[in-house]
Amino acid sequence: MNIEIIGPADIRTEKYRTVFVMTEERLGHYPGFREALADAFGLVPAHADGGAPGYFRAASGREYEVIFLSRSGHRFPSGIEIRALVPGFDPVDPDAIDADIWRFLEWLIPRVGGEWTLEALKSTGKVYKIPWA
Amino acid sequence: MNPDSSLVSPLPPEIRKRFPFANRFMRVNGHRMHYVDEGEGDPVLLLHGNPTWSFLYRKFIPPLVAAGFRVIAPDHVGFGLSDRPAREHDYSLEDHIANLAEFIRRLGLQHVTVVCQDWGGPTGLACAMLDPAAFKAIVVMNTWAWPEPSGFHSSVFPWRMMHAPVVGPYLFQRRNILVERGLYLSVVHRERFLEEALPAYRFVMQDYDSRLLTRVFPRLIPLRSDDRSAATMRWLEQSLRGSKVPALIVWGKEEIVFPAECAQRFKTLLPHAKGPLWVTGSHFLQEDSPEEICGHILDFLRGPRGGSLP
Repeated sequence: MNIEIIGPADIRTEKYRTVFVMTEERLGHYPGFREALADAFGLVPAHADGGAPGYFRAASGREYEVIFLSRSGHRFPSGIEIRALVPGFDPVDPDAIDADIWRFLEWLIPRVGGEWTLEALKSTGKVYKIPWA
Repeated sequence: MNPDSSLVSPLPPEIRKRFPFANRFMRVNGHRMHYVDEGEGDPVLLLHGNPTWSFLYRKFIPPLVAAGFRVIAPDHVGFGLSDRPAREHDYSLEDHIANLAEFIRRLGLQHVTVVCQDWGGPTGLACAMLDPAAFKAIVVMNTWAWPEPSGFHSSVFPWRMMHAPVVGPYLFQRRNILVERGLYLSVVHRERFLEEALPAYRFVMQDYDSRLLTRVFPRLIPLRSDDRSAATMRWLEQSLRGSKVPALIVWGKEEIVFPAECAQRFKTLLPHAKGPLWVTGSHFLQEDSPEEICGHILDFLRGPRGGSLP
């Protein structure tokens, strides 16, 4: 799966723009997902007030920004927004991004653990014809 | 003429030919809601669930109209040709019930027969329990009305994994799995479905934002007693238990989302109900056996437990 958490200084994409990939507004729907992400990206509650985004690099070499969302009444982070770092004015390849995000899910699920298994994710992906499952 | 009606069809010809009904719109609780309203007589309200729209009932409308009923089929806010609120927090079971209750009130419907499947159940049955005097009968199909989840809904594979945090937006919104694969897996007559119906379900789910409710609805199914929607589902079950409204239970023989025990639970809840009557059908039984189900509905409405024809 080869997802690498990187810092802003490690970003290789030059002169990039950030392109929306997807938003998760309710990380707390199953709290283990919030805890896994907070752990992996080293988040502390102070990040809720102007903290930096997280970044990861997929095996493809494409890099992504993870913005952590905060919502009153919900533990931080209440959600995330994932954005692709796309060089200059290059076009976006949605399938290439989807391949990377599938690998990100494969990286995330074992970190959540418990009943959330890689096998369950892959089986779900196969049933629903995700090409990378 | 209804001032909310649209003279210009928003549908392409290949879908329009299978859904040749006037597109009507009403603003409900700030959202534009699309609906079909055909025929005259006592109203039959046809309610869909996730991820479908009134197109699901296209084969119910002509025979019910021909039998002397006014047939009304709305698209839930967030689906079909209705508005799509943009944020997950804009959707709750209570919002959906309130939207439907206001829709019924604005149309001034009385002597209503509500026919419901999937999320059409909790929303439509709740409206019937809120204003029982307005309802003549209920027809339940492949749905539920209690706080406990079915085995399908409590399992991680595939259901809870599908809409888990981060996984959900990817599978439901980026990959559109419920439309592209889930519907196909949940009908018996698959080749017919691919030819006749899938283009219409795709048409209204063309981009990431339009698919939001497909992943939000699964999260509104309570798994525990303190989950969102649980209190409303408890109220609904208690209300139905005391209800005397004539009822018909129709269930798909091949249904796995709400298996046979759910039909039996409705029978326990509504012991006076006719049925369960079993038809060929997986979860979207309206796609599989529309003529047979319409026959059952008309027999029921003509019979002593459903009242007489108008």
